[in-house]
Amino acid sequence: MSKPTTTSFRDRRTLLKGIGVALALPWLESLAGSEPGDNLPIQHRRMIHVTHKFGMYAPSFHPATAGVGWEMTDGLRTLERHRLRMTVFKNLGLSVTGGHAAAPCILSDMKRSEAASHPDGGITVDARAAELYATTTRFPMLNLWGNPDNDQHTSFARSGAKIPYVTTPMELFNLLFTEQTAEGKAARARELAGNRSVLDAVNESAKRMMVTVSPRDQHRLDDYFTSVRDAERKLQTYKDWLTIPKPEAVPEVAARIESVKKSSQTMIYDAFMDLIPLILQTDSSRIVSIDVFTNPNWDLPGITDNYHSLTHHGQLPEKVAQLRAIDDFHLSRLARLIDRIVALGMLDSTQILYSSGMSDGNSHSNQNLPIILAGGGFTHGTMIDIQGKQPLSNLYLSMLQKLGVETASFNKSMGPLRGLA
Amino acid sequence: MSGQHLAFDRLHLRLGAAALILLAIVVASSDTCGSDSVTHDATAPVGADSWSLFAQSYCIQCHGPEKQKGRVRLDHLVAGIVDDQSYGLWRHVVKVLATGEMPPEEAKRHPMTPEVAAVRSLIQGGIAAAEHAGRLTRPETPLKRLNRIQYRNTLRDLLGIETTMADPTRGFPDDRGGSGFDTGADDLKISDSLMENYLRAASQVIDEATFSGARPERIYRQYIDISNRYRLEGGIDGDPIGHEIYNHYDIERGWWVTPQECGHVRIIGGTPFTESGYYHLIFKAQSLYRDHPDITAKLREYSPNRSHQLAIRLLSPERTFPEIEHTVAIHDLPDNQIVDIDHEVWVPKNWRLQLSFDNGPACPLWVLHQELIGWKEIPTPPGATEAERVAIRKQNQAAEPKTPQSKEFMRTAISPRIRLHKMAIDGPYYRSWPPACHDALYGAGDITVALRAFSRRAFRREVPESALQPFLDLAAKDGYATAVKAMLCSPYFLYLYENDGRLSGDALACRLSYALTSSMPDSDLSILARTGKLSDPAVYDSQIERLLNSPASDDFSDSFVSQWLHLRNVDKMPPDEKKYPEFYHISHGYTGTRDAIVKEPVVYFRHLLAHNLPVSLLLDSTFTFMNDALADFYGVAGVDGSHFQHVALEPGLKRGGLFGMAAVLAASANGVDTSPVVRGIYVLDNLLGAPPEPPPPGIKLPQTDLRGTTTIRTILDRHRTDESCASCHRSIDPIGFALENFDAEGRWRTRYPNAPVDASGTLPNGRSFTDIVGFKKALAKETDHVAENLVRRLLTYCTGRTMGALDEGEIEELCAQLKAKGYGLHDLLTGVLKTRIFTMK
Repeated sequence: MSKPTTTSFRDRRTLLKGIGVALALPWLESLAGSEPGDNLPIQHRRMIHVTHKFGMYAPSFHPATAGVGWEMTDGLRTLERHRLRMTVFKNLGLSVTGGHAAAPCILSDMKRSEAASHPDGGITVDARAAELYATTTRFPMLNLWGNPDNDQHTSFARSGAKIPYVTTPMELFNLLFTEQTAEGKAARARELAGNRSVLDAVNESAKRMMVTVSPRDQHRLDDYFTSVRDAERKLQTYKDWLTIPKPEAVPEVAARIESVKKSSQTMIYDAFMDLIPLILQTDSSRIVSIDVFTNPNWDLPGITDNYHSLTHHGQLPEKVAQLRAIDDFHLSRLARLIDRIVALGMLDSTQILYSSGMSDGNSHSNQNLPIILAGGGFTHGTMIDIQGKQPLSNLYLSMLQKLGVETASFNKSMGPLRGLA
Repeated sequence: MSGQHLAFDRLHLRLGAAALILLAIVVASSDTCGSDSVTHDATAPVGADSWSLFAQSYCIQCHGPEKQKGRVRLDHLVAGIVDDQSYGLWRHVVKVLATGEMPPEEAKRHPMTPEVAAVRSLIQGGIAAAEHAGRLTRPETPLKRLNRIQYRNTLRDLLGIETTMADPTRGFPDDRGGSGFDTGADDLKISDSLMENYLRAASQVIDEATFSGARPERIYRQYIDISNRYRLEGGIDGDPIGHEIYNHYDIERGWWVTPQECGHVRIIGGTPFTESGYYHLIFKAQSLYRDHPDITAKLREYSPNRSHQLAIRLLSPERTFPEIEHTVAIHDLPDNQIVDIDHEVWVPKNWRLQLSFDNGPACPLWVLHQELIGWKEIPTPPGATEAERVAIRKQNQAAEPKTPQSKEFMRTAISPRIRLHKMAIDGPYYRSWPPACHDALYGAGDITVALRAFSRRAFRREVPESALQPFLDLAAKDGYATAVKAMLCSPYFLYLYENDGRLSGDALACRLSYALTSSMPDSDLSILARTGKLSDPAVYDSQIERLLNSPASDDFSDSFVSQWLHLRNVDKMPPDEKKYPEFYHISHGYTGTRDAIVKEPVVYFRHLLAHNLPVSLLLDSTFTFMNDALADFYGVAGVDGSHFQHVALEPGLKRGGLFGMAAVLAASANGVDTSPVVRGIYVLDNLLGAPPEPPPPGIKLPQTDLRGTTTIRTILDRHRTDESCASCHRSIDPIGFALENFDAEGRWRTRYPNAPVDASGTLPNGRSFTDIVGFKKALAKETDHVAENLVRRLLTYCTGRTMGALDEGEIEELCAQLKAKGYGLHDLLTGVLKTRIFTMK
């Protein structure tokens, strides 16, 4: 597959100047469930990951029979209207164990301790995809929400660095739309230029330090040189983007985001999910990951217990009932997201993966995970029961290849996922 | 032969370590291993197969291809071949033959004493030869950078700036990695995003240390007097008696603060801290109505047994949720007295002040008033839309009886409160102008002189002129400040330089200082290092003592203990709020009790260290340290005040030692329930240094079923009956069962919802117990293991590397010396700091 062409910065600026119209809300209630828009010709392929760490109540989730005739389960009913647009997976699991400790590995299928010795550094699938767009979009990728606990981080770059979370909807809004003042930009430009000189100087000084350390340690200083070089590249990219205006949004968008109550789990969830289509529509980024922060308390009707406590349901019916309600809520938000991507005409160009690194909180198993793939131009409408050894990395390899990444492997993959076209 | 079995298998820890070393240095050692694999050691006695004969007769049956009891396998050992991989196993063989542990009593055949002696000396000869011939690779600490805390503290000390509030490392990733400590060299690498963070942080700290304008005016602002143009938020406007705080301000719940409610006091109309500088914070506060019978009983989350606590905090200018804050002090106010309070604090520009009644009641007075008049507002249902919320609020506002009594009630109700009689802010002022940090940064003399002087301190050693040249060139082009910024981003600053072999003065000073204070060496230590005096053992010893006795080392216990015992787990999987409300009970922002819980092991450890008390007190003890919040939590009477104090434990309390501390018990649970397996592994790994192997793949994890009376013991029964499970679980489960009387929060329980708790068990060393008291007695035998494990953890923490084969000898020696002296914790730590392991790269 040929690489997508990247627009030069000058062209992009002219393009955006021409638009001039502030973007409206694509998520107006009236659009939900409406006819899909004409599919735009596929210029740019995109990938969205919706992950969380607490699994789904397993007995209700997985269909019994594989293939296109899979019978609907209670757990999946919320997604019924998207049946033909999605594929459900069964018996796909992590290659690492550890319950909660392994759940954050969902996007790499690798423990951090293994990552350092792997040639790709334990890069997660979203970051790998983002490498394709390192200079094409303002943000190579956006990593949303997330669990502030540092041991629960889900997205990692090739260097092993964590891709920082955009932790609030307001922060995301500002990244997408809030333009700096002219003075702000000038100051930032000066800062960037200053940093270039600083990096030149430290690079020189590192060369001089190199000769004084033992051969073993010289190897470790290599990290430093790579970091400086990569940072310089990034600085150049920031500098280029400074000159390109951000898109505008109508005031309703800002008002909508400002009204989000910081203590409301559901309001934050909705705000993020509503902004995701805008990210794609403005081409601010083509790779988006949202790690749903599993705060103890869901403000949903009928939920009286802490989420973690509910996942340890012990088969108690009242706990299972509440857990099912939360699971349905998750999938209802996924369904809405798919609605909006469809309404934008972007379904075939946008892969949407819903996954969780743990299957069922009661057993803390990392096998037979709840995984749903929608859009992206794959053939859907089926349930794939993974038999034999097919690591999760195989699915990620298929997704990356579909995106246009030229690679024959991803982390622990053994080949593209059989059964997925 | 004695019949004692190895109680816990420490061996695989060493084997694991040896394997790691092997992996890490495969390139370096391939020459040594490869070329020697076919030659036999010249000093090995004739008949080198006397080992194989011995092994065949007495060892291989249980430790060979068919069976590997205790996970030990000996058939791969070849006499005369001692290398990194086999070294640990050889040492182990010598040891168990020496102590008579092996062959065990029930073995069918036993060697004669001369046979054993011959084999031992054969093996020891092989080991000695390998060490002598340099065939064993010396592990070294790889080059590593400063971790986040060390980086921040170094900037603080280098530039003389405040870094707790204006934290330059905000947004930096945490450094916890594979070793369990944030000092592990293997995890301390640099990436481009960290490089960007360093650039930003360097700019920030240089800004903060720069005072190039005019000296700001010192102003005295008094707040309580309403006619004054400075005003307070909270309290009651127009009230001649001053401002009062009625309850605690709960950020998590986000109390709406109105004068009627008064959860805290803040300044409105702009913060007084318009410039960074020193400020006097002056208050007169009075605690009133601590225990009035009429209302106290109705107040939620209020303990009349505790003195009222006035918390003085500074809040960051960024209005985040939750707020970024710094607690200046918490005052336990005596009843009814008007207390004078005066704090001198360096406040960063634009930070804000807040006063809270930290352990005040949870409910605001207006809610109490509603209850008293019998009117209830309509609650907002969860999941309501914004429109619905607004509608309900309007409904409530319309329906609430508006009586003059409401405000009157606030004034006259006898409810607990803190009354402020005076509040004033005096500042900014400075000890000198420009402040010392400015002078330290910009130095005196011309740019070259200043940069050279700065570099000597920043790089923590002398560097050749050529190393400084890039910075001098940059200064000529872009100015002094930019050159300093570059220095703070250069590897000379960011990395800890250590020369090969015995550490030089500067390198040793750094290692010692960063281990004990998490910061750069102070000037005394630097001078001794630079003048070569640190190589004198007496000087080195005295510096260790000086650092341990200084306040700078307070953080050592905190850093080491909270990482060693994984106390952060308490936040990762916090106890369920509904099931364990006490954990969140009482005090500011949910954290009063939690903070106290997590502090207990740290304070206790610090005490053992300061008084050189024996390590056995970690396993059991007749005392601990508590403050009022923790005492409430444990149900202990007579502890007042927010400071930690020595508490003698009643035997009936079943606490004492680490096993009785809620922090340890919660960190080894998951916030919802307990698992004997998880707790057993936690204890084996962290306290005994014998982590078990992971379970074989493909094990189907059991599903908990809470509907019946099945207890955890029944669910885990297969661990006992199935031999392949039992080999590991006979070590793991008994520990976990002994701790089952403590729930996921660390509270004592005698029952599950549907069955009684059974805490009995038998340790592999043969000792049985029926409860935690008996368990701790049974465990007392393992003190040697506990001490050795602590030595290893400290070595790993202080050096940043894992221990390897060649370290074993010194570790054994040190443990033997410490045992002879009674395992005092101070002796243990200083012993570690004097090892060759610590004083060499």
